[in-house]
Amino acid sequence: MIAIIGLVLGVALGIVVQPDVPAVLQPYLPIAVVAALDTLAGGLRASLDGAFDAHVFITSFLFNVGIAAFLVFLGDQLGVGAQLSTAVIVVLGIRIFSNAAAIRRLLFRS
Amino acid sequence: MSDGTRTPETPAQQKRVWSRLAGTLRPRATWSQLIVGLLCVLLGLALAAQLRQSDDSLEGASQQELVRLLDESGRHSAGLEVENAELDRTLDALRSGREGDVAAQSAAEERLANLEIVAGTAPAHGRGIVVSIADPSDGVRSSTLLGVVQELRNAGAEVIQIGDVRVVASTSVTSAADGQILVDGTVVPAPYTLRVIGDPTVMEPALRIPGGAADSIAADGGTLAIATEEDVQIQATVEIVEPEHSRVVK
Repeated sequence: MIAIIGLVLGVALGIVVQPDVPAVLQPYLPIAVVAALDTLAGGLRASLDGAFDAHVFITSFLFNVGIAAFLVFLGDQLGVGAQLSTAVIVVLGIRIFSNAAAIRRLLFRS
Repeated sequence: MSDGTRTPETPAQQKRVWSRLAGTLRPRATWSQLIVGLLCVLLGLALAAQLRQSDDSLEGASQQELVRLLDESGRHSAGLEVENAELDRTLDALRSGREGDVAAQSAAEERLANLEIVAGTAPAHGRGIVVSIADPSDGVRSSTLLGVVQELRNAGAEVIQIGDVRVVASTSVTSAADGQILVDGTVVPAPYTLRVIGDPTVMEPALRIPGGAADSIAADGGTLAIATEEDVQIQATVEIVEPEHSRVVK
């Protein structure tokens, strides 16, 4: 519940404050957001499985975001930034979908 | 699925999953829950910021895209430069062509003016003299008058008018049966007035040469008076007659 409240609060805050993303972070932010969404879906699924652990959630959240951003950074340095970003997005997208599918199956058994 | 999630088999298991969901949604004020909430605040913030950022098509573009856009605009502007240079050249060519045309036209106009004066089709004015020949005894012959005209021509007269008749190359000076003088078939009554454009300092002495025009007039019983004028107006013109027999040799 706190997570949902926090999410809504964050979106509202972002709309009201209109923060400027620093230029250095601009390429990494979209990937980081997708990675965080993936972690969120994974967390929800784990809690439905009865295997939710807040510590695991927090570390995986930070770790996923960090690794996604690092991959994009590495891609930019290697000159394959666009391709690697696409790869990361695809993988995260697949994970989000599979997590969502698991949640759906847990809740509706069909 | 091979990811370890067990699909609930019985309604009882299903119920347990739903109760877990309710438990998850129930707020619990533990440290870990607070941190999870904080992370979600950050996520929402980033989401909103990113959504707003994506509105601008250029700001959201990657480095490669920007480079490609820059490249494209560079090529585009290079193409426009080339086109601009070509148009400039065309403009220069047209302008110089127009200048040539203008020069040719002004030359032709000048030539036309000269020819009009020579042919006598246009009025003229300029420095010259007015010769008045009084003939109280009606003794002045056409050949004497023609002599005066010839003398003026020799002295460099450019335009001559006798009475109201323009004198051109084909002008004739003849005598009518009753002794009146005809210029180009038009009766010119005495006294005769010759308006002449030319250099007065040459023409006046030329008429007064001993044994010349002035003396011939005097011998016919007339008198000749010369007045120098700064601006002699010659209004008489002649119609150009189409040559009937002659053709230009090309």
